[in-house]
Amino acid sequence: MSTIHAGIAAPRRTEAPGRKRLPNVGMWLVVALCAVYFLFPIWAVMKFTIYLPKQGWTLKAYVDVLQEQNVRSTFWLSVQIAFWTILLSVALMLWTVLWTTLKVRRLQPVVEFISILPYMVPPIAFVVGIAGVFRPAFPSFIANPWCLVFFYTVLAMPFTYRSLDAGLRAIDVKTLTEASRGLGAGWLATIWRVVIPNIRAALLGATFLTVAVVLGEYTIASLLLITTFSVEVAVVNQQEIFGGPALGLLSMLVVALMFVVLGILTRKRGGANVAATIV
Amino acid sequence: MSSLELSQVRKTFGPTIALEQLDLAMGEGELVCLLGPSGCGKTTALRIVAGFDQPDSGDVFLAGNNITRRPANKRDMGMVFQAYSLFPNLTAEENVAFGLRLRRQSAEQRRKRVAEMLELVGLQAQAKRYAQQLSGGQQQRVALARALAIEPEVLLLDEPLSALDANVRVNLREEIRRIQLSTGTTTLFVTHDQEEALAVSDRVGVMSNGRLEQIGSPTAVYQDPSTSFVARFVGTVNEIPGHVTADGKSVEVGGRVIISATAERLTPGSAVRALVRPEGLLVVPLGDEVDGFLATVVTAVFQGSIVRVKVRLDDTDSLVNVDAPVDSIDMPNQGDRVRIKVEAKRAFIETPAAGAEAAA
Repeated sequence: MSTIHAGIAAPRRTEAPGRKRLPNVGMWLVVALCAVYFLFPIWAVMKFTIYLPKQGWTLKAYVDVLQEQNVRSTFWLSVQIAFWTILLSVALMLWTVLWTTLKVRRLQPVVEFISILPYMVPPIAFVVGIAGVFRPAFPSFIANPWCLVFFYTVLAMPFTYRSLDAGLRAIDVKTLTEASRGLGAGWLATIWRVVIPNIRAALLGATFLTVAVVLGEYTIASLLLITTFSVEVAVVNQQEIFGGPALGLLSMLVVALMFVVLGILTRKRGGANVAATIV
Repeated sequence: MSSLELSQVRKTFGPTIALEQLDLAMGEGELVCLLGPSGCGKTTALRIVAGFDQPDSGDVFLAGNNITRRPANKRDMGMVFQAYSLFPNLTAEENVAFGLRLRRQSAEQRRKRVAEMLELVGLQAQAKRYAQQLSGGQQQRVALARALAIEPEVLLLDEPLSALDANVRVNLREEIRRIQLSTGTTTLFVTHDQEEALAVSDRVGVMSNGRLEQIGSPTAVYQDPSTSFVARFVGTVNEIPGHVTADGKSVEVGGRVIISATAERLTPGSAVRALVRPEGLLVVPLGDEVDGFLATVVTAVFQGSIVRVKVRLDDTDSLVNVDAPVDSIDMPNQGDRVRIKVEAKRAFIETPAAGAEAAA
């Protein structure tokens, strides 16, 4: 982006060196429109949930919804599923990306293609396929909430792959791993002591995106009859006029907060690959 | 027994032959440079020694033990890479301590060894800095300290100076040699820079197309090249066309000047090229002397300690460079008539077949 901007700005300065640069009205207009488009509905939901009819300004909707046992238990279940999904997807994808980067570069386009497949298959088609295959063969597996860890690992693959790939591209991973191995570190020690600390931003990006996927996924869980947090949000939405939107807003805030934390954590060191990681 | 030995090592990448039956034996504490142009196989040889690549055939021995299939992390070799390779998440001292930590040395031992190593490379003051806070030269010094900290059997240097500025390069190469001599570590140094190779090595191995063309002391490789590739790649040469004399041991040019051949047998009467270095020729003013070629000065360039005079020889119509010490010559002008004498005792003689091979 900066290259394009510099390219446009430079000739203008040479043509009229004395003239003051006008603020870019068009750019600010777009920013304002985007802000209204995104922030207005959020503001509307917030107003709806904290200004109750006949009660005025109150946080009652939030307090009530957070006291519900189902909300708490499904949130805790989703957090645990997110945790194991992160572990499984990072473990699988880190090996895969390292292996393709260091050993078989020609397979990189193939792996990249495979990694975006979950994007291309609609969740409804995915879950119908899963149910069709697993329900007759492994009925108890498909009824267990933990089966979602495996399916969500597949769903998170595009984000995990892209984050880790961007992170590894930002460092000279070949030289660093060779330097580490040359000094006596085995592969596990090299990954633990050299690779992971140097792609911290990418790992955090992958982690938070996975959490966002898991907390927000509805279709698969709902059709497999597993009540996760997002399924519970939908139920509450149908039953409680103020509690539903309040819960939706809270879950959105949790994800937003994670990205703020990501920004802070990655600004200190290795901040250069944050943008690449999140994009 | 040699410290490091490569025996009949061959390596291909698809249809490309990177190494062709490479034999190399290094003595204890020796510094050997592998010198050659890009793609000649020198880095492949180094990577095979380090254990990062496996040879198709042949063996690598370390102190008599076959280590060909030993993983890189079990070879006990320190390596400095062409690219900056300090771990960005660690400070200079943590980088140096990395290998020691893996060897489970105590904190006290590590602290002592790190201090020793940083002192050796003159970077005690930068111990707490991260890689991005160090200059290129400082990063390579820390990488050298890190490689030496583990007291490696062999130190491997993969063009460690090529990313640095010219003057930093000269300083650091002298420092590498000083440190190598002080630690007595057997060192394999890979470079494409002939000046670097000649300056630091005990022996220089010149490589071309996956083959070791010649290996010997820097003076032997420079003064007594065994192939026309070596003669051309190491230093500058003038190609003077001539014919082999009747005894097959010398070359005459223009029916007068005789240059002794380094090769043993040449076919009498055959057309050849004598490869003579610029400092093996002498510019003398026209006078009573009859020995030497008559020539016309094309350019004369002052280069500090020497003057490089380019002349066109009357007999062969070929251009040759002559390096004359600045005090030994009055600065000639373009068009001056001079006489060129051959001072070199012997020259490498390139036969047409060898020339064709070198060109290929």
